[in-house]
Amino acid sequence: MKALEPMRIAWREQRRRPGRAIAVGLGFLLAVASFVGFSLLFRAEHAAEEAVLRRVGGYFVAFSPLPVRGVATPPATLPRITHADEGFVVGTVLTCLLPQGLADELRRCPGVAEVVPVLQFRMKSPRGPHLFTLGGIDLSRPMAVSRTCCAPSDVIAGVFLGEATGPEGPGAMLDDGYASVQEYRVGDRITIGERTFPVTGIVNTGIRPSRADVYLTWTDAEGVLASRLSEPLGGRTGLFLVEVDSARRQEEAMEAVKRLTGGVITSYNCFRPAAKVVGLNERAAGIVSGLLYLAAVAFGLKTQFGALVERRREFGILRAVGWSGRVLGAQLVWETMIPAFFGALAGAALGVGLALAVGVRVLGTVGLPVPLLDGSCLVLRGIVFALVGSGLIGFVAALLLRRSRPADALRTI
Amino acid sequence: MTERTAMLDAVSIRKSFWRSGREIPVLRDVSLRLDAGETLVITGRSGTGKSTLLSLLGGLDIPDAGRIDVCGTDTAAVSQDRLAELRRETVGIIFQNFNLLPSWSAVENVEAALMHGELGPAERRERAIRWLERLGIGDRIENLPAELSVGQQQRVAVARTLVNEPKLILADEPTGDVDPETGAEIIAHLKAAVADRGAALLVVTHGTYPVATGDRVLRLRDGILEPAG
Repeated sequence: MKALEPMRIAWREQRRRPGRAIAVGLGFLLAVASFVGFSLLFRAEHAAEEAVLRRVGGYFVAFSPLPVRGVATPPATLPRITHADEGFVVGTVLTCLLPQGLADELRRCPGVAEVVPVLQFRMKSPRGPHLFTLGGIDLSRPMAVSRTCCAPSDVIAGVFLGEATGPEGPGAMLDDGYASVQEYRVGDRITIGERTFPVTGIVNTGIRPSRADVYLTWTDAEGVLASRLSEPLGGRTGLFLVEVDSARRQEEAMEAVKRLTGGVITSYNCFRPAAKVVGLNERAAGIVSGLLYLAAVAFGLKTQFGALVERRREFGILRAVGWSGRVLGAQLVWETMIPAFFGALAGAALGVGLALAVGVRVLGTVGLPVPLLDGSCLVLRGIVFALVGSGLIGFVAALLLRRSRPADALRTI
Repeated sequence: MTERTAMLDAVSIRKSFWRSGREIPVLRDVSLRLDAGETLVITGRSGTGKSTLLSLLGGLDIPDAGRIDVCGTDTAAVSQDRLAELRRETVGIIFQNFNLLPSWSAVENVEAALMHGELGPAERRERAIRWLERLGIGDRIENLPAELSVGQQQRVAVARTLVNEPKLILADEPTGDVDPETGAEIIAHLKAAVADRGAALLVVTHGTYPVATGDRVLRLRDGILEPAG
């Protein structure tokens, strides 16, 4: 109870001098409101930037190119291709096969969010002498597939692969360009290798690092390729689609993946400027909030020093009647922390309110929520900052008070 | 012969102030002793250092030289916080200009002397009210000092000093600004503290306090304490 006495007296002082309490509280209200509000808004904006940037960066393709003709190919990396001009490819580059189990190791690389093995096989068309690319995709891991290869949002006719499974399985999905040239439509049948599939969908994938002319599920693609390889594909793949967790970490992720695969990485270079842009506003918000916080602390110091001068006689009298510098110091700390706490609470509420009012209106247009979960951490941090800052102000004031003797205060009345 | 307990023992106190680089000696080699149950009156003209002496004896300031023991405690050897504790538990000071807290009510001013002690809030308030009633201003306990007459303010100051039942009372012109009737009441309360509880009372005055009430009377002149003529 005795330990809480300075707090009780400080509370009474708030009511005795409401003007000063409001002034200190307002300073921290402004600082915390701007800290919470700006941080929430810029975090939301950051999330929106990341979402947009993932469409143009934030992923890459890892593969191991096939050594040039004349160089011995290790049998473990590639079975013999039974048809001339056919082979595993990335774009126009022939690739070796990599063990699928490598995906687990790649997922542990820094900055890597997801890794999906994909088959890309260039093969001859049964309709004529031309070549096309067959893609075999693992639909159980849609995240990397949808960004790097093809996505349900790319469908322009029919359904996305695997969305409708008939008696003949999920069928085949064709790229819009290939379907136009070869005059395929949804419902037609397409022969790939020695098997025939119904065309269930047509997609326009736009520019993606790993696109194919015809898409099958991994299982169907492996079945088709069985007729082209001298041995079963087993647990191997031609390439990995790698999704990174942030454009800022793509460089780091690419380096790590390259070290493990010992191969080549292809990506769009737009992640480099993107990584620099993302978070610019967030950093600016941090600086602005920091400056406002310093201003609040400086204002609080000024207010408290003013109070020390104004209440010099009062403190002298209290020390003369037996109040120690220690209890008066504790009272001064409480006198600053109490309005700072309530100011911070009000500021946090104001900041969240502003972020919601502005954020929902702005971010709602791009279908993104305001990250309120982050908000609870920010509110807590804002209140802790206010308590630390105000505690520091009170502590400095208490030190100054303790340095003087009671007689000094009473003599200069 | 019974040995009496020294409540205050000051030996060779010196104190100077500096103004514009010039030393102004206020107290020169002042020594005094005050025993329990004794009343000492120190007279002197204004500006002779009476209030400074009281301030030093109450531990509100430190002397440039000399030693002051209050109830056996060397005031130069303990911390400011310990001195504050000593004042709260043992010493009561009545200031010449009352030194009431202007934004605190009468009862809060009296309670201030009891805060941070052993009593709880309710007990503190009850005791403060009892003392204000004893001093005849029980009906003005919630008034601010500015709402009280000078005499009433002095009574609040006396109540604040006596509420702790101090062993040593240091009073600076306790009847200086009050009417004779109020002055007599204050003197009666101070004498009662000495007679009933064996407190030691030191009064400094430039002539408003009746010196006849003192067991001893000393005079402070030019910073030197001497027997009153």
